[in-house]
Amino acid sequence: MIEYDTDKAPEGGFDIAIVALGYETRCQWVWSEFRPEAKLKIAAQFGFLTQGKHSANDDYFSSEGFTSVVGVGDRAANDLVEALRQFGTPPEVSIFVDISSMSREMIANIILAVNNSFCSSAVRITAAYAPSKFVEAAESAPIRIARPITRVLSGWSSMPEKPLGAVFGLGCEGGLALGAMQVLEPDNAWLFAPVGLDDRFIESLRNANEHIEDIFDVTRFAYDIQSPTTLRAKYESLLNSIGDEFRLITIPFGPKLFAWTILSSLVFSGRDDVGVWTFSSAEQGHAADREAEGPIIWHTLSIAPREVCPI
Amino acid sequence: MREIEYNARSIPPSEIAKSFIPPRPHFGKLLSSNHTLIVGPRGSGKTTLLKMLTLRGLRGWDHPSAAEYAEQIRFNAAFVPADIAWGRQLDALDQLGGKAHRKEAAFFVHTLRALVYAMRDAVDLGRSECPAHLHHLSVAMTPEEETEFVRIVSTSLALTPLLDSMLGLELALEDRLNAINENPRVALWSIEQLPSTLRLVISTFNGLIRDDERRWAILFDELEIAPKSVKQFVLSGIRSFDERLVIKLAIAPYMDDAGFDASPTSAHAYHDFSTVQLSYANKEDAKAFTHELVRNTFARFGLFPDSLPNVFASPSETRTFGRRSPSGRSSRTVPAEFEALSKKDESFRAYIEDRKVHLNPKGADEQTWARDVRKVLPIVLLRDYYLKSFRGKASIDRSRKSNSLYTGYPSILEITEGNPRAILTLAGPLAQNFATETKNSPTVRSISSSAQSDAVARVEFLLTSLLRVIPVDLGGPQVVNGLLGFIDKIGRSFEDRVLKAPFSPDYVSSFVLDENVSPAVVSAVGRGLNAGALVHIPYSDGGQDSLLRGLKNQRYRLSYALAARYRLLLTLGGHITLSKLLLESQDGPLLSQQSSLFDQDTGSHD
Repeated sequence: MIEYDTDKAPEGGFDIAIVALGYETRCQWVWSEFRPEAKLKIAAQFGFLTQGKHSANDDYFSSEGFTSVVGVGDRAANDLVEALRQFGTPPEVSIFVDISSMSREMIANIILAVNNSFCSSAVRITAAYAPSKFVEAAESAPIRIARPITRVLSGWSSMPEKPLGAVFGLGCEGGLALGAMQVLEPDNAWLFAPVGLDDRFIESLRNANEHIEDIFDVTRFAYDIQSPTTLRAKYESLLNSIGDEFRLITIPFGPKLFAWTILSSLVFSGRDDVGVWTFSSAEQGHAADREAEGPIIWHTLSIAPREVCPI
Repeated sequence: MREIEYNARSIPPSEIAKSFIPPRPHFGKLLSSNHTLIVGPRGSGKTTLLKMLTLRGLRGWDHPSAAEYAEQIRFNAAFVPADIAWGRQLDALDQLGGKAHRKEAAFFVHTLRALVYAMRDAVDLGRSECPAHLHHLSVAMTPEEETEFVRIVSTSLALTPLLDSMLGLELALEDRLNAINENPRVALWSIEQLPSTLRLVISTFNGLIRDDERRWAILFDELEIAPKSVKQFVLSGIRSFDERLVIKLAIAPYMDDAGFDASPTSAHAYHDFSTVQLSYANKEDAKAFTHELVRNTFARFGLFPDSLPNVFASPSETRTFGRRSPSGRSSRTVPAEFEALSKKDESFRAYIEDRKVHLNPKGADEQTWARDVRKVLPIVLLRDYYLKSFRGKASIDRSRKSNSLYTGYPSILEITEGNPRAILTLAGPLAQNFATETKNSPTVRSISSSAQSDAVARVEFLLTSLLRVIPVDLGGPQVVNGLLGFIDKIGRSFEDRVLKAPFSPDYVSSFVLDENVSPAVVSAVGRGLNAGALVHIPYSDGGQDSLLRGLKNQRYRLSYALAARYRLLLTLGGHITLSKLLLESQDGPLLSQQSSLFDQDTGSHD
């Protein structure tokens, strides 16, 4: 159960730090800017796309004392659990996660692994997110994966005759949300569009998501990317208001902060009825480098020990 | 666009009924007591048709033909809903451990619950005011008989309903479904037990109401989403079902993991199922349904046009495919576009000089005129519209940013392919804006070509955005552009033939899926069919179910929704083998090892 959350920058050190070891320049940015203390350091790898700045990032995080673990794929959540078990099962644990260069699947695996590893602990988990500098959206890579982000996050309903409701985070890939809607065919959709970013990003976002209202019954929400606590409150309020009427799934396109917020909210609240889907190019994605641009956006959740641990 | 529903999946049948237009002759075929396959791409209305067979759908339907249709139905229908989200949840059941076959068991319980729900509907109808045309579908069952039914069924299935009514039985089945998800050790039913269990439930119910021969139809929606074992069982094992059971299956044209067992003893599509195809190889077949749905959409915005052709204005600056030739059938005037094109297209000039059509038009016989002028006129319009010049072997395009060639009646409607979702995507916003315009300015009489052009783009975008997110694995580093990339290769190859090559009177716009392509290409063609990007063209002697026997050696064309994207005609052209088409687009890796570079174009023109 989530006891509280805050957008404030954390103070003090952490027990565990988890970063992404990928191909982006951005991988090092938060760590080198913030330089948090941590006792156990884990660098989550992708297992592919070892081009770009991967080698430099590998050298950097090795020199900083990180141990690398593959963070995507069928075994990733289990491997991450194994890595986290080095820390035992303390009554309280504090965790730092830099989600800036992580994939949505990696974020999901880390959240699930933390939830499993420290089920009977009080957890304080802090996400750091450094938005990238704006670049014109390239032609998006072909979709290779269209399914629940992990099997555990498929959701469940014993009443498939109930209408399907889909909550979308919107991003800048042209037609992606509309295409996903046609695959999933929800009866209603709620779209979360980020604001508080570079105006060019907002324009790109608008162009990428035109025509949706012409075709589907949707309700739009804006969310301030610099206030994840408000986003979580909006998201949970929405789920609470429509959860009885609809079978629910969420599709977290757009900033990774949206994916982090909804995944942490669902997993740490024990809401296994809501599915989370991904439409991803997987290893076919182009290794487009991203550079970070300040400021860092923070989101800290304080989670009480869970009454029922996941199987 | 809240006024219009684009997705029937979870809309109650009673709501669907309020605006249901029966597509003829499809709906009539569905009413028979035959086992039926409803085959169609996304958005083609499969779910709507199934829901309209249920009592709730029929009760809420006030179409002029509603009573006539309902009186033909000789079964009570149980709708078994499914969608991709629930399908993936079922998949996860088995993958997350515990006993195998949990998803089969879940599907079993789900089907059973749907049947009990249909039985409850029939009893409810019998206990309420029943319209005369539905009387034969109602059931007279006393509360005591209902209690007895629940007791017998729940004992047989080891269920413990909290209420001794059919509603209680449904809730007990729902509990069982949840238990399958929550508890890996719960007792499971296997799919092989489904026929005997359905027989038990039907025999008990029919016996209690003293109507032993009453038929029940199980309507499986989106069967492709069901577990593979269930698909194979339902498709191949239909002969093991009780004769009082009618099966109606809504399926996509292509399923890569299940199909009909071709053994002599198994069910054969041709013998055991009748087939309803919801895609239209011939655009004329979709015309009546498209018109009625467009008129219905306009009516919902308070618009009741006398004539659809007059509502959709043709652009003033250019002729469209939809405008009838001003020269008329008996006229012998060479169309103006012939002269315009001959001035800028050397290859076309050579054609008309060769055929001498311009020298003595009055003297040409009907056959010669039809062959040399009328047949090629759409190609001439296309090249004249898009080409700035064609000299030697090189073409230069004119700058064309709008889709005006595809506007005007009937082209604007033909691009929808009779697909309800495409029709509503096209007509909904057009009708809404037109209603506003006519209200503000009573002199407005028709929808501008520019607004129609936007609508053409919208229908194209609807399809391409879907193609963009459908995974397809074609292998090879240079062919990874997904399903949209694959369809683009086909479309661009046809485009090159009609616009980038020297003028030819033989228009080619369809392909035969030959043996020389890789299995990955066959799968991609199947997915293109399911998405509605490709349309199957059955051979005249092939039958409605020919596609279900395999995709190979069948003929296909691109959806007219993509015609503007690839600058193609709204006409079925001749065909070529897909392997040759892919070779032309330099996609050798998509061909199989046996591919021959010397396959001949088998172009026919129809």
